[in-house]
Amino acid sequence: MFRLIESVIWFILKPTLFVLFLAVLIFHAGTTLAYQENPHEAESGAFFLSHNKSTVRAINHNSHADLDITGMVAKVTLTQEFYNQTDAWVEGVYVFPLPENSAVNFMAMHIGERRIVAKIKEKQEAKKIYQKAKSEGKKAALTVQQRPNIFTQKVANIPPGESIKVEIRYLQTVHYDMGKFSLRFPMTITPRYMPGNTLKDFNAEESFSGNVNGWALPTSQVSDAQKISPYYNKNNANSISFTILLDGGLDLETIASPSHSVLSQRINNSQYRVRTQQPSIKMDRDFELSWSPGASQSPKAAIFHEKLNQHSFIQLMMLPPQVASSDYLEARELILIVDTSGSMQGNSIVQARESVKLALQQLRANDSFNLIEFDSNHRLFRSNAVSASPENIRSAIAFVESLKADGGTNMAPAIEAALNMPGTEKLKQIVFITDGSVGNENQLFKLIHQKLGNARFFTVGIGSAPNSFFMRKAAQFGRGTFTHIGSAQQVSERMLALFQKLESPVITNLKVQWPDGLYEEVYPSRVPDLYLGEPLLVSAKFANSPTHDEQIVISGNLAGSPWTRKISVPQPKQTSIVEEKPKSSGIATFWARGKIEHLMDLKTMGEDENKIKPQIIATAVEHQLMSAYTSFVAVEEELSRPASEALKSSAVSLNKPHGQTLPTQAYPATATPAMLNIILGATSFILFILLRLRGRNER
Amino acid sequence: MNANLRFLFCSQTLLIVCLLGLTGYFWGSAFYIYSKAQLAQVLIAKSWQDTLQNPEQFSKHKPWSWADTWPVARLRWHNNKQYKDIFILAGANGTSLAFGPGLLSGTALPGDGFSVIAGHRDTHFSFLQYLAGGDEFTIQSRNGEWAKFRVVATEIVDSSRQKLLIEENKNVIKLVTCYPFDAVTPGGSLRYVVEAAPLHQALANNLEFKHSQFMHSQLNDYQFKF
Repeated sequence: MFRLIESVIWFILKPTLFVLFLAVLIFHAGTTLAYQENPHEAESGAFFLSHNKSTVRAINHNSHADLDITGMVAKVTLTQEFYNQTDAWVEGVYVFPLPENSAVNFMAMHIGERRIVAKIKEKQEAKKIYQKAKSEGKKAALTVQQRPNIFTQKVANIPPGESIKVEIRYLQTVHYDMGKFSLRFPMTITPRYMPGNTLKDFNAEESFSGNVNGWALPTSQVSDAQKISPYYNKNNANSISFTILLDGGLDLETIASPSHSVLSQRINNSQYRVRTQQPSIKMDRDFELSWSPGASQSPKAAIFHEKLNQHSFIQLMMLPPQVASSDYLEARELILIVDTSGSMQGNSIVQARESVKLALQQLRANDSFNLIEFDSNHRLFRSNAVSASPENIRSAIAFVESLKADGGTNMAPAIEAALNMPGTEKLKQIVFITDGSVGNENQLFKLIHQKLGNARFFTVGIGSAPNSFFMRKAAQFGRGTFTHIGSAQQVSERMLALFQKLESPVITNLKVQWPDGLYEEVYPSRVPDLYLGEPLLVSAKFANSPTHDEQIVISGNLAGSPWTRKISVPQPKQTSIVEEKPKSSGIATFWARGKIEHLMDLKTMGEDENKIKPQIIATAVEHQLMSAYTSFVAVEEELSRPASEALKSSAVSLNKPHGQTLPTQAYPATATPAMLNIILGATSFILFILLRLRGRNER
Repeated sequence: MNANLRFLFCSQTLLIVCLLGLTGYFWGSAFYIYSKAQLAQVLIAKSWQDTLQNPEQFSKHKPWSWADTWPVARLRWHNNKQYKDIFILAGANGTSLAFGPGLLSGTALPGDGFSVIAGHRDTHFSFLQYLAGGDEFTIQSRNGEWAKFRVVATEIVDSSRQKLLIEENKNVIKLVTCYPFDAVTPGGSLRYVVEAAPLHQALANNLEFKHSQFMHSQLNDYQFKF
């Protein structure tokens, strides 16, 4: 009884106390409470620029890409123009994508006719040099790597009405798979999901006042979220033009681009000039170029030898013998994971659904399968893998048909569910269909690496601008392969090709025997198993040059039977890195890029960062390479901006990926239970009165 | 008095105390909600003054020290009978909405782009029901400037069926509140949306007023849903 009275009193007291408390606070504040119409009359002009920030595009951005493809190597020169449209001094900040396997080895800033070549520096040092030049009023450019496929270009002190050009060069190995060469050039970044809680200590003002160049705030899992979340512009404003020279070394049967319409023209024996039908292209999707030699001419092996500063570098590409048949493969367990997060909205989810349905139809009677879909949460089709019976497949297709894209991209729990699913005797193959638009890639690679066991993990990249870095590395850590699907038309061709790989025997136990005792370092250090149509690709560095005609022996295991092949070392090419326009064939660069990637992989797998960082910096500086720890910086000698003029920072926005629908948010809840409370209160009050009346009558 | 009667008396006293307690609780809670909504605005007015004086540090100007929000704009509106002067807070979550209308995070500040402000239909945003096409209200931004906005559309949407589309390329304000205004229970799925454009823009485009509403039958369903 006493407790009840106590709580009743507390019920009534709580609001009263709060009101009293507020009243005290108000009394405290009351003295300064005066309504002013415009306290900033005198200063208001100063705010006008920032006030209009969303209506004026401070910087106009255009790019040009020059692709020079010879054999397996693409040399790309990307020129970005930053044009300041305002009448103030501006710093341009541009977050842009490059291919995930690019080896960036050159940057220069062009001011009118002058060219200032950037130096490679340790990241923090480069940043300091840039900041100093920026505050002094010197024109400066800084290129920083945020992810192997996301970079930030900063250009300081662009004069009003003028432009500064930035030239970036990189090398890239061409992708060779199933007898077809291909190359992707990404142009925009699909908005990334940043899992984790927003970090508290991050400056909230910056995020609201637009001083940060990204829409996302750092989270516990993606501490650099603000650096990889560029804004998107309204009208698909950024455009690019291409010049492409393709030397396949062979007669080419087809040259095509699944993403854009291209025309090709043969200029001599093996050289083709390729141009896009539209001279200027909107940067709203990946540019993909593919070419293939006639079937009989498919290259089986290629070896390149380069000599640089007393060292010798060899790159070897070889296509092992092929068996394209499913006869060898025992029954398997196929687990399909489908990303149904908000970034998959639009064309992507349609392609994903089609891909899954196609995959389900490929199952054989003795296979078993399961489906997992995820956005913020994940959902399993069945708690365990079930047999591929017609009924199960029918209900799985119904499950797939119902998939809609919204919510976050919490990949880790879905991947974990697939990897943890109790295994059977069967070979477990996990196919992950996603656009990879997350910011916590390394965490996911680590998860896949740790939990893989005997399973194999394959990625299928969906959409106009998928995160290819995620696709490639997740497949590497998952000992599988990756595939890209850019449009609805490609779904059947690419999925069937993937299934051919899933069903054909894998080449295992691959070993490369280099000439006796000469080699120093080889990357990748452990040759992965190869799926149907995949070439072996390794780079090695030698202390002494192997003599001409020495043999490299490659051996492996295919469908239970061993095979070996011998290739002899060719004459080296002499090159040096300091040349004005490097004529290097890039073999040493690829080797260094491979070494850096290997070290970064070790870090992902848990190696101490302090151990690998100095090694990466040393390799990157020696080979003039961009990395997670090294950046390019270029500074003009003379001062440009007078100290009296202020510098405004302006982010260059990206084009929205093609086919992506606009972002949506849920409506907030906007009603209080006040009226309900009043009515309920009145009801109990009336009941109380009735009871009193009755009590009186009874007495 | 026999034991039976005494028990009856006891239980009746208990019941009366219970009912009184409940009445106190419910009315107290309602009073709490309304007073929170009203009084908090007074405190926010103070922090808005500080914001105007020092707009760079706006997130430091919290209405009370443990608040997790801060004012981002001030809205004024009046018609013949009513006058509203309310401060808009950062974030449209349950906590901030109790004290004032909130700017949906991720959307632009009013006048800077696509801005969404949500408020409770029974406190701060009850006046939305009186807004009609062509009506105007003013919004003060952090730097002290006042800007006029004109209502160009009102709309009733079912939030369980559609989501709020963030159209970044539009410079408009969307004021969102629950619908119907006189519903008793909270948590319904209908929303009343008032779309307003900067005055110069509304005039330049000669925007025609629109009101759209989806099916009526669902509205009726709602009112009796407890």
